[in-house]
Amino acid sequence: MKPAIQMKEVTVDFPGPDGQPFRALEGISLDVAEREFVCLVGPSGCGKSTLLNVVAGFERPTHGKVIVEGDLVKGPDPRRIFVFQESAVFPWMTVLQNVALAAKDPSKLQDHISMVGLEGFEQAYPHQLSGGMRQRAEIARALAAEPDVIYMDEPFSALDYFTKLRLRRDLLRIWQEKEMTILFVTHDVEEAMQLADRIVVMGRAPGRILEVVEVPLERPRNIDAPIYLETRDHLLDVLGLS
Amino acid sequence: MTLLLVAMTKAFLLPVLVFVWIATISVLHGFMNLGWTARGSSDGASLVQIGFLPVTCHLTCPVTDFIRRETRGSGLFQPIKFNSWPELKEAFLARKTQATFLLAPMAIALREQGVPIKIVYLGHRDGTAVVVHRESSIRNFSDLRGKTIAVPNRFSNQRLLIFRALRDAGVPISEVNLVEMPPPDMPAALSVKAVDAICSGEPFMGQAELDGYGRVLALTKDMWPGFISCVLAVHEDLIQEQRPLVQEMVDGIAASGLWIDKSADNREQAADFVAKNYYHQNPRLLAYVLSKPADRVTYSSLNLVRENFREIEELGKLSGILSGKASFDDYTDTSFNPKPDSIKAPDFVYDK
Amino acid sequence: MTSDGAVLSPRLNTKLGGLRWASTARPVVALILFGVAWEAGIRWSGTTLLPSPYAVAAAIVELIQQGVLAKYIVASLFRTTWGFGLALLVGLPLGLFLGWFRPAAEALNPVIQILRPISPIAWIPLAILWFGITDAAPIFLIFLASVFPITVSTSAAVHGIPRIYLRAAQNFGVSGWRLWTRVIFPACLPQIITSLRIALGVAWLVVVAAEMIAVNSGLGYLIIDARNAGKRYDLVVAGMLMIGFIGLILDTLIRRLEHLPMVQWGLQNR
Repeated sequence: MKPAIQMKEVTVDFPGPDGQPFRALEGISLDVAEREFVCLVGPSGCGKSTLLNVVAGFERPTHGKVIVEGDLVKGPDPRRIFVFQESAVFPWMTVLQNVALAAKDPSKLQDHISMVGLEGFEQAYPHQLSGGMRQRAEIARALAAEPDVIYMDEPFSALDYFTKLRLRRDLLRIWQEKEMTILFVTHDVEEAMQLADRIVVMGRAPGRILEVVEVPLERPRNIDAPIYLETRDHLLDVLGLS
Repeated sequence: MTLLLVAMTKAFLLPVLVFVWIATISVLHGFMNLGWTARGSSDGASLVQIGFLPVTCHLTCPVTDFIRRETRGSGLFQPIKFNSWPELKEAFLARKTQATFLLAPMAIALREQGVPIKIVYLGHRDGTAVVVHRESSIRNFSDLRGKTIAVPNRFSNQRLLIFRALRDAGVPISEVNLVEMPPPDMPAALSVKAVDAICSGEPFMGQAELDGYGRVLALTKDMWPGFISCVLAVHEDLIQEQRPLVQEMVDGIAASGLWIDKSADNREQAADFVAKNYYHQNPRLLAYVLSKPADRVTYSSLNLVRENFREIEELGKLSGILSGKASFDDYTDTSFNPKPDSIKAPDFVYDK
Repeated sequence: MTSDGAVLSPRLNTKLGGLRWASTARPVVALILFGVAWEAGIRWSGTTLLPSPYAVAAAIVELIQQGVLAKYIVASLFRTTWGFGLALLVGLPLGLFLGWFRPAAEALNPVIQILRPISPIAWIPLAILWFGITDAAPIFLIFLASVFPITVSTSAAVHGIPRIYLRAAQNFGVSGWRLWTRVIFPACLPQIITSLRIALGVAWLVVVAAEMIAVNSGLGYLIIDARNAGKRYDLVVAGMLMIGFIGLILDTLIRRLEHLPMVQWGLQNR
């Protein structure tokens, strides 16, 4: 099957403080299959967010390229929606208006809002919602565009533990219903273990792929299962070496 | 459906309110201030506009206008009241007024700078005073040594007057502190003794007297007989294009001047209708400066005389405001001087 | 219930009538005290020039009797409306344009920064030259006073839009006209409204200077004319007070804009 996302030797240099270019990413090559849920995990500074921005088309790589669904990525595209860490729902619009702005099919607005569990808050403004609800709104908006791929940049990291659990559960439900490809960045190993089909472990200086770990377990993941614990320990191991 | 209507109304509410406000305030302004009625708007459009300030020096302007409108139903020109010299002068330079009452030295200086201005008539004679504080020990001009004297605009004849008086008293200008101050502020400055002497046109000198803290040091009629200060000046173009009109204006001003000087009663009437309709000043104040003494300011013999201006030119050069590039024949046009005895004061009585 | 109700949410405040009354009473009491202090000051100093509150009130009554008070207020409001309105029409689009297109900003910014500090009074000679002695001249001066704060604030607001909003908009394929009306402009609106408050205040403040140019109506004209009328300090202070009072009303009105739901996100205290 043709992969949904193909990263080919993606390299990103930034101008460094001393005038020398600073290499944020080095030769990243990775394929993500259709309907796969892949997590990028790594310590801060490993370039995982930068990589996601390049794949989404917000930034250009210095070398290498990204191909998504057969198209060379030159900029952002409504078929591939990015969900930000700090909520990017427009604060001057209600939840409903935000979703409507993105919606491909105006008659399905309510469906998307219900899917994330925000019924009753359609007329609310983002500043009237809690952090978790804002992220839900953002996901609803992303869904309304009916994308094939969703990029998520640490979307739950600013939320409290219980909200995180709830949202992870809801995200998995949505992913399974909608059959989308998801590329998810996180620094939380536990989170990656709960969500991903495959986990890409990244190291820093320069940012590169250390290892790709398969997680062929059924969801919801049993955190007591030996395979689960082994895989997790292996992850921590790989990270510990970076 | 109702929700949609409500939403739409809310969305349009702000722009509609804004539009309603703009329309309302504009219409109100038009009717209340711009005279948007049939009678008002047609009047001002075709008349020549003359600038003036609410000072006694320019009295003939409103008097001519008022008498003319009362007796003939329409005005000869459109008087435009300014509040200070700079705007008056700039409006004239920009051709927004075609004629204006102006300080004589200012008119001469403008001519020197190449402005096509022509003085065609005088505005008045005398009508200025030097006033000191009642409690001060200043009795004559030599007592002004080391003191502060307030004068208006540097192109004013009052400043030249001070120069002349000090020269005649043997006091060098450098031993006196001359400050420039707007005339309306002078009475207050004198009352708090911020300055030692003030000199400007009326009615500000009279005000200091009436309020009790001012004492006249000298009246111009005693210091500089035949003193001229303000003149009627026009654009050269107006002379070329509307010569008869300029003559009519000069004749009208000469006639009103005679009317004002005819009797004390006329002066009181003038004080009343000018103060109320044009100057917005207290009629009592205006009456005071027109009558105490009776020849404090005069409006007759306003024909242009070369000798008057010779002294102004001389003092102007002495005080540094004139360069001498323009001569009497450059900046005046004496062809409008009415023949003696050809002007009669109008038969007009003001009904309070 | 707290002693001054400060911790309660705005919605509660309107329901508890008592609390609302207190917050209106405070400024009224302050004003009354001020008036008393003024009267006392006049009496104690024995001044013959400065007017007492009573004299000022009498002057206002005199203006009403002469039928000019309403005319003057209308005239000043008319000129401020048009001057400020034109400043909005020019300043907002210009600010948006300069904030978005860096080369344009680089080209025009020096010109704007040079013109900005020039007081409207300095423009009077040019205003007379270009607009004569009609209402257009004061309107022009008021326009000049307000257009710069609006332009500069708007352009700074555009510049300061958080990048994620623009990226999100780009991601969803919002572009062109839709980008401006649905994203850029609303994102700047809270800051724009704050600058409107300031600009309106400046516009109204400049009225006095603007009406120095041979107009024959208006509150600024009233003050200038009163100076030329001799000892009419009562009219001067009456004019000042009315300008101040109407300025307060204008400010209160424009602050209502801050209650629009689509800007509350940027103007609320968290």
